[in-house]
Amino acid sequence: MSEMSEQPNPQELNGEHPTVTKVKEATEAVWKKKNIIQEYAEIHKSITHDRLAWHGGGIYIKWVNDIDMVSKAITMVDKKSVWRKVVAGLNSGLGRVWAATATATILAPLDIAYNVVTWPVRKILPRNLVKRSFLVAELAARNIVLGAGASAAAIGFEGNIAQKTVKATAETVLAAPEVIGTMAKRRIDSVVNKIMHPKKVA
Amino acid sequence: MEEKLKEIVTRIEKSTLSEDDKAELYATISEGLQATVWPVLLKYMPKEELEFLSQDPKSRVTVESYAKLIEDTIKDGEALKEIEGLMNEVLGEVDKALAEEKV
Repeated sequence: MSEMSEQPNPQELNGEHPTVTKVKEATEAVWKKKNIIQEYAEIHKSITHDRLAWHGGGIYIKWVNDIDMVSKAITMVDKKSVWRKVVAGLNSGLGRVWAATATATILAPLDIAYNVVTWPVRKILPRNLVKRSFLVAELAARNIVLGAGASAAAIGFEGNIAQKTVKATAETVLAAPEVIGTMAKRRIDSVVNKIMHPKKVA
Repeated sequence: MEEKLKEIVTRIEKSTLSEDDKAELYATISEGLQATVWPVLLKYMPKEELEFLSQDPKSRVTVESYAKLIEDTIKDGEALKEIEGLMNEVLGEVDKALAEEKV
């Protein structure tokens, strides 16, 4: 993969709050400290922080490309009942923290696909949270891209329990900040519960 | 992890940050947590299985084969343990960053 020149971080140019910058640096510090696959972390960091800087070479790049291809293919699959079994299978026998993580992993590739596909759109995405939510839903409705919050509906999960499980996890763990930002009452418990307590699939 | 996360969210909620900045922080924390998932999964993923699927994703990637890939990756629990450990580290670093910013 050829290397592209890095774009300046638009958030830096737009006067990001220093606390937000500090927290972002803190999360990146963990990636650097730990033995996380460095190239993958760099790619993902670039994607999630509104930059696209691909690095060439390396077996890890191949694995990332491989899983990206698999991820894109799986998002096109439309087998509702089997998806429900997948969620159920991963939830059963695992602790609630692991279940939340496992459920999130199903939608993690959607995030990769979402971020890669929507990079041009996200560069100009309005910062207004309501407009961003609308745009995500609009794109999902057209099946152009599966936003994390809209992915559950777009894929068409059957059964309210499966849908709530996936949607709840998607809304808080994945890239759907607009949903977190608009929660009104009991925000603290709601945020934590949605991350940590996905509803079990029947 | 849950207690740590709750404490962090509580502090942010009680802070004088604007609603937009709070939302941005939650999104950043979510991204930070989420970003621990795939690198670890990739480390534990059966590479032959992944390569097989990626060679012809249209016909080989089904919900069943994908579910098997994920299940094979996490079934012994090691990947999830590592993810949880990393998530705790992320929250620890976030905690320090907030304290430095007097949040």
